[in-house]
Amino acid sequence: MPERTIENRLREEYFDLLPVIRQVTLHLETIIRYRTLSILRDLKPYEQVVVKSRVKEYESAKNKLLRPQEGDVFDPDKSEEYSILKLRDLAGVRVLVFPHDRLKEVDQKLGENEPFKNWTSDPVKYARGFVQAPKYYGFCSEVSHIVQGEYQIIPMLIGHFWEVEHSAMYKPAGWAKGADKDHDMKTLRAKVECSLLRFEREFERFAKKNAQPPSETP
Amino acid sequence: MKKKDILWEADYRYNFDRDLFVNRKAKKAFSLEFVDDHREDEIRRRIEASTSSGGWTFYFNSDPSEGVKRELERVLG
Repeated sequence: MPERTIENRLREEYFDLLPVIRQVTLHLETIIRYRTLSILRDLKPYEQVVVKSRVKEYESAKNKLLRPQEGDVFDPDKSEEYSILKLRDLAGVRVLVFPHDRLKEVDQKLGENEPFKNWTSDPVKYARGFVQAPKYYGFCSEVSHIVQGEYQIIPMLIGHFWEVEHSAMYKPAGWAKGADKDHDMKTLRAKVECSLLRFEREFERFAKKNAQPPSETP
Repeated sequence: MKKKDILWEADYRYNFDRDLFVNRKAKKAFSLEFVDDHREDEIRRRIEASTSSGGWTFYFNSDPSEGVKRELERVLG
């Protein structure tokens, strides 16, 4: 009988876990929506806070386990070291915030309550490493002690850019594979991130400078 | 000349599944990370280096384990 491949074992592990991953995702999204309600009620007309969740797909999970290894192959001698459960973002939530000023407020609001109080911080560096988006991972112990969840709070313009950019770079249908590691692409991505961030900052400055409460109608 | 053009001229082709520049005739493979992190003259030197073992030579930033080498030799043919 031919030996079972690491890919096949990981696929089975993933689909066994999928119902739990879905539960953790829903739980995480619901808590975050609830905790950010007070901020939502207080938003100015031009401000936005949007909560989005996703269950990590199998291919994406497998590629993430492969990515640290140059040559993109699993080491057959370390078969037992590979596990879907090593991934921290099987259940993921993104909180997109516009403008940037609201980011700290959302971060603080979420971090001061359970279950996030003791989650591990692992900020995302972007715009050539000058800026960090808060990111945390941990367990929603009411739902699972084995599947971890992750949430990140991102400036909205950069978040929308990443949605397009990540699906092109990390979930390729073939021809674009490797684009995420290409030096020129990395440089261009950093430039886009810097530009979007500058736009948000400039908008904030402009909005504060010209802020006028709406006149009351008689 | 760009590093990728140097490899292309030396008959290295990009393997999208493995993120490697591969020359099956020379039995050499460069990882994308290695190419990114080394200068043009270093890439040229390795392209021109003679290999005597008859097996594959992998130019990686971190030396691949024996298991990874075996697996890559299997998939690269």
